[in-house]
Amino acid sequence: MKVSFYLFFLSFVYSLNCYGQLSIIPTWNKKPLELQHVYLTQNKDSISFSTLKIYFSDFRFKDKISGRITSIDTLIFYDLSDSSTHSFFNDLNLSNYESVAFTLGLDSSKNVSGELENAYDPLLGMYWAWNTGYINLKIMGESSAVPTNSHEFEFHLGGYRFPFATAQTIQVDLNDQYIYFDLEKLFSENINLTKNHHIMLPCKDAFLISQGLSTCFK
Amino acid sequence: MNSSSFLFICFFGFSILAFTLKKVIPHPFYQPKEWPKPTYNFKGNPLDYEKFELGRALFYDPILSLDSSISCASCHLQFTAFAHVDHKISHGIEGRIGKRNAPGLANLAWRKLFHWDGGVLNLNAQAINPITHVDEMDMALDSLMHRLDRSPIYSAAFKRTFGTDDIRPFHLVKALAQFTVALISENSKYDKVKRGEDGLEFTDQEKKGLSLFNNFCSSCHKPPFFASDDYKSNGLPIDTELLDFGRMTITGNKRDSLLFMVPTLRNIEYSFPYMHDGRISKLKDVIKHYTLLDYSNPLLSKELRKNPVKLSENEQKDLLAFLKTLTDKTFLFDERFKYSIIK
Repeated sequence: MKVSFYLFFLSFVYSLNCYGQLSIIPTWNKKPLELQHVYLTQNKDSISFSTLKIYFSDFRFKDKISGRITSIDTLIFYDLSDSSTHSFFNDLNLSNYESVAFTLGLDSSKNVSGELENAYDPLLGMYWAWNTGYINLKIMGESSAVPTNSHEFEFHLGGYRFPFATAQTIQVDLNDQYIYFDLEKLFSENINLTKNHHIMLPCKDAFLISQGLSTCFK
Repeated sequence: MNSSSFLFICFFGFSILAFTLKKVIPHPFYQPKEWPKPTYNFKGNPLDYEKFELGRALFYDPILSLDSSISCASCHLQFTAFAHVDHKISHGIEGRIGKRNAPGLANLAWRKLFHWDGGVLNLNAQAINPITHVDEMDMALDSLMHRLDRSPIYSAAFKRTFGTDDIRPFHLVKALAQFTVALISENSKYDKVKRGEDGLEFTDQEKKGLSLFNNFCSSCHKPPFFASDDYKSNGLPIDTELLDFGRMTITGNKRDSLLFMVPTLRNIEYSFPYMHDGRISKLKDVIKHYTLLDYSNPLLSKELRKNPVKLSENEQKDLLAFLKTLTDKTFLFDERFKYSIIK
């Protein structure tokens, strides 16, 4: 009931101002995710998150009437701990569009551009100095499912070279201004914390987990 | 015109002249004749003499390391071709030992890939690696930015050169690149003979060595840089303690196992020890290494397998004599690249 009310409230606010920013909302059990809050996985393990950082790029909005595509090829940095990064595209009339496709991560040209300013700033903690390139998605936290003393997990998912190119194209319908990222689905369907809790470089596991990301957005 | 007006006009004129003269101090980078165009993106970091001087001071300043004990120059000494002479493996703060010998720095504006494994794709980003690497300077970038901001000298210098009150990593690495991009070595005996300068000629032994070089070495160590952006196996077996697999570490591809950068041979006489892990200390032994290789080794570079290096003792000496013609003392002792501080 609470969930339905929450979603209804968001839609109501959106209907009052259809010029709103596009916003990313990570969720767990259909509620906005909070850092350091302890959740339960579907296997009844505890899980909490300390870091959630994401790169988005190459947005393509599809017009409701003409079907024309409006492209915005910019790099967007999202950090759950910094509310100033949660919404973007202030000047876009989102009610004109039926859907948006975007890239979760950076394509190869952005990875090798040598750009180190603004969203590319290494201070954001997404830059790999030893192997030029960026992390697409950084998720860190703790879970009782992780069989180590610290119970910590770290997923630095990135890499743009074949065969481990990890950037993913994602398409969602635009019913409102919100794009939801279902982490519960990601951790129940794509990540087995007992077996895999530490990815720090481009590799097969990073590739496989990234492939499951597209179904976690709606 | 009264005398006070005349003095004012003179003062004004000299002020403009002084300002103009300050502006025209040339950045040391230049395009050598008959060399290809540089790969460095100068549009993203236009040459600026004041930024060069800032980068030069930073290169020599241990402020970049966690405990302020080592600078870039600690492992890249000018008089040894900006390599880490006399150390097999370069060491960072607190004597921490890495896995590789710091390579020489020269003609970097023409390189596409950096480091022994080619993991870094542009010169700007290169500096971030040694600054943050735990076995080198081990300095977190955010802490370093705070440190530079708090330094009256550097905060003023970045304000003056980049017009910023908020020093970011891209300011730092661009300043450093203004210095490293200027490290051009092209005044060796080889270069002068090739250009017909100073009436210089190769000796008979050097001529024989050049012929051998062209036959056995130049397909990988390509003039005018005597290097390439290719990654090759020269038959060195794995060091079972260091376990450094080179290029494979970057690509994750097993075919890249034990491939390493083809380094420049310019100033090779002064950049000992040799190879990615400094395991060979004398240049004559590097040449001997190639003559003793197992050429049936399928992992060996195709250039070596196709054309095994067969050299008599005398031919090895001839090749060594030629390699010494690549020494560029103008570069090794260039005043513009020496230790400096921001004034």
